[in-house]
Amino acid sequence: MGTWSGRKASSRIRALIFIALGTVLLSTYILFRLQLRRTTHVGVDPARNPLPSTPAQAPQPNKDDKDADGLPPMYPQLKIAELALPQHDEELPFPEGKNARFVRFGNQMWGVGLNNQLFEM
Amino acid sequence: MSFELPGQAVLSANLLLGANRHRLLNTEIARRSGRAYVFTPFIWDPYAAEDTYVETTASNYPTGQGKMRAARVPLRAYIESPTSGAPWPDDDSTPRAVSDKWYDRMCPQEKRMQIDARKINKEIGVDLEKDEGVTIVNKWATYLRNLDVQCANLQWETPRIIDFEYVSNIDLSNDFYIL
Repeated sequence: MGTWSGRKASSRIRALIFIALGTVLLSTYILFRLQLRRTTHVGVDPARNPLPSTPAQAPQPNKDDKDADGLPPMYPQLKIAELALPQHDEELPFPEGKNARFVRFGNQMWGVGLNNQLFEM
Repeated sequence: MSFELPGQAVLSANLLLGANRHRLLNTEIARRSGRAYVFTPFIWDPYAAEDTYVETTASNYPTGQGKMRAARVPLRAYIESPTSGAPWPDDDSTPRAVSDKWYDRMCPQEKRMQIDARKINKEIGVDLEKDEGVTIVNKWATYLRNLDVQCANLQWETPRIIDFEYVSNIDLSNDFYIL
């Protein structure tokens, strides 16, 4: 009887220690995450990259060709270069220029990336 | 043809070929029909505005969040070839490929001839499931060459001429000049 109640007491203590440790660990983790969130916001120019007010709001695009805020690049320079291609000129002689004949494959696939298309290999 | 991703690892030729094969083969159709190929960006979401990010849904990400992607990535981020507007070889008189923005300017909606791939496949006798790749490319190129319109526009949501089934059994190295 005595040994039984002793065992019970020690298992209670063990459970208490377990819960206490768990709480300490959990709160440390939460505090760490909060701290992390706070520090990552330091130094971000709010005009260039305003913080999302709600989680659902999508982040703003970064205007450089850099992966600075963890978002994929937008390649603005490449977009400008594409527009400035020499064939984009109405004055060019046929078959280019104003009277050029075009074909646009509007049925080309979209919404798939390298990962999807690897599938076809 | 360059296979370098800016600032990233150099991808193998096969990988990018896999991702762009339909574009390359569509360019070949355009070349054989003597028309300028209209290249488009990589589009994740055709309804999203230019210069926005879209979140792709991915329930299997461990974070439970999707991945942010640019709604459109310019094609030249991946390939620099006649498909993305680079010049053809000197002895080739094919007009250079133009961007979709230039096409929108030169070909407003009323100038476009909308082509339903399903109808034309029947008309020119193409069976996408059985015919050889070269046959499909040649028949479509002939059709587009003889078409007396400036702006040919294959309609969205009609069958793709170049699709997974087709590219899986085609001998790219033998049949196609641009590859």
